[in-house]
Amino acid sequence: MARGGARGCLCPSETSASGATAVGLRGSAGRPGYVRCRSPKTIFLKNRLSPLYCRSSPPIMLEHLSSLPTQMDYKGQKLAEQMFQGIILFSAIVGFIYGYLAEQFGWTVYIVMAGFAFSCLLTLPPWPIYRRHPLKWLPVQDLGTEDKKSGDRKIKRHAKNN
Amino acid sequence: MPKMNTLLSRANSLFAFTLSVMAAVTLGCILTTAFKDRSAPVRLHVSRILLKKVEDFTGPRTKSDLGFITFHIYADLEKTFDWNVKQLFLYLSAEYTTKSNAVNQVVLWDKILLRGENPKLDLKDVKSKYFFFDDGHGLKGNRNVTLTLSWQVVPIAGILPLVTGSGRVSVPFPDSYEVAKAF
Repeated sequence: MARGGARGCLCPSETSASGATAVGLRGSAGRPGYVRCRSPKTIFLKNRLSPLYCRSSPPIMLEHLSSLPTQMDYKGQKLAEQMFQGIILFSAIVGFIYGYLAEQFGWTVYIVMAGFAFSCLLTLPPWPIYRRHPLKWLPVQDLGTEDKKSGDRKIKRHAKNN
Repeated sequence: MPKMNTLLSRANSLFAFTLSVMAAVTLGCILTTAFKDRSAPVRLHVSRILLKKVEDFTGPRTKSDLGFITFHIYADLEKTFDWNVKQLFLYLSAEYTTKSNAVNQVVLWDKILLRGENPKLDLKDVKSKYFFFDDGHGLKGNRNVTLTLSWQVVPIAGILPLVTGSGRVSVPFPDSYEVAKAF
């Protein structure tokens, strides 16, 4: 992913040492995944002007916030749902029996609400037990020359159809 | 990465499930007390009756009979209270027949009995709370005026049954005005 280039401001000395592919990645600091072709002349100019294009922390902070873990994996979701259903049903049965014996329906309501609060605490935040089976994504494919080639092929195909 | 189950959707399904379970528990509560017999023994005693002839301000301005009754009530309502009863609404009504009307029913006194209060009622020398007017002069010399205590059960959930107490007392009214009759 092209996000790797978006960490911190670009240092002119680093850019000149990296080469064409690195510039291709870093030139797209604002839009991850968007790769543009650059000639050596523009590389030189870009190095000079890179402090002006320097992106500071706010976009990085937003990216970190959106990648905070608020989701569970699918097995974890199933586990969470089973857990809260079980907890609430159990507290309802216990509350019903206790209220009947104590002759106060208020106690039944209190016990069910306590079960609700407990299951809220247990299943709403994404605890690590719900993230034990993460999805297996495909490995990161190497961008750069391969992508350029497939891009050319795509353009050629469109020209043929038109 | 598609978020099939966000925090809010989990909270939504949790809350909806809790409400459904709560409704089912309430239905269970209704079913445990729906077919219960709510009657209880009642003892009534009338101690004093006074009859007057007064202009009836509630209707046409003719002079009508107005009765004042003082009575004792004794009722044990402990068995009617259970976990599904919020309060009992008790009322004492008088029923009699006159020449102009076949059935007359007048509420003389009522009381709200909350759960937690003493269910054994032992009230002495209770004066009637509401005016005992008759449209006409049907009370004078009436042989048979029946007093009964009834109550309405107000539940937490379910139907409100109306129950009449078992004891009732019939008293004759005096033949003349402004003369108190003691029992």
